[in-house]
Amino acid sequence: MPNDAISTMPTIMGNRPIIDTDGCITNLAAKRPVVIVTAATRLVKIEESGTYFINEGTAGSVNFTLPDVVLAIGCEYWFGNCGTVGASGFNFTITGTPIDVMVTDADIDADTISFATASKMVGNSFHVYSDGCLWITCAEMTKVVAGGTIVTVTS
Amino acid sequence: MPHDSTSDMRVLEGNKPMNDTADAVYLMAYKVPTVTKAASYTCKVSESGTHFIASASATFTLPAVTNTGCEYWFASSSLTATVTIAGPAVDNLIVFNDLAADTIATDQPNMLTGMIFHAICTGTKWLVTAEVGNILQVLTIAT
Repeated sequence: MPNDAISTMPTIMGNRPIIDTDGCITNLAAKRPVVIVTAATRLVKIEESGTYFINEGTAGSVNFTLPDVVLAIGCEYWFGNCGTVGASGFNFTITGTPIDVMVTDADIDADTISFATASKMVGNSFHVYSDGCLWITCAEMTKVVAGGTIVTVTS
Repeated sequence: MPHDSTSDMRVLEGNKPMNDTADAVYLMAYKVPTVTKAASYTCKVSESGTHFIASASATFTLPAVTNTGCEYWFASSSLTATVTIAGPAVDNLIVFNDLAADTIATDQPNMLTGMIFHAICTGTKWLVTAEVGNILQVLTIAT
């Protein structure tokens, strides 16, 4: 039974989050939803906002399609690559809905984003969120020095 | 007394977060727990969501790999403090091009601050990525 004795998060009746005088949940202690994906395609849902998708496909790339950017205002997702090291073509692609709504490096109307270096894809992730007009994207990579992973963008 | 007039977050009875029609907490406004450590530390499952700040060099050891969805952030507040992330056992980390790493750490003396490690448990491993402030930031990985 959850209760506030095992967390510093203030709660009501031992297990209900409470907001503070600034209107915020204070000291949020939470476990993030994690979804393991092995299929070739995955339609991401609005109600999955906050989810960390883990690509463990073994047969090749996974294509994640984001929800409509307008309807998904405030939604955010993470996508991590945990598949086979060095497997050629093992990757994932994130596709915005509709086209031309992804913001990435030096590009404000991209269609898709993915990793590029076939042998250096594992251990990297993307974080994306919608502001109601655009999907803002950020690559979280463990190694970015020369020889590291390069991001591929299609516009 | 907390109440919903100070936030756009939808609440019940003035202070209890509620879900919207898509079954997500609507416009969740929250503050992250931040904890400063001056020595090595073993993270607890009940601290999931915490941002750990190292004021001196420290090794942060993660909980068991069965704690799906647990996540932490790690950073340094000292120009001389090295941050090392260690799995609960050897081969428990997924990092750059490595499915079975032991530890990952900040490296270069002049690049210890301005980056954040994010660790999330997949249920079988810990995926650790880095949000770097400079593309020249170098990390050390033990395999």
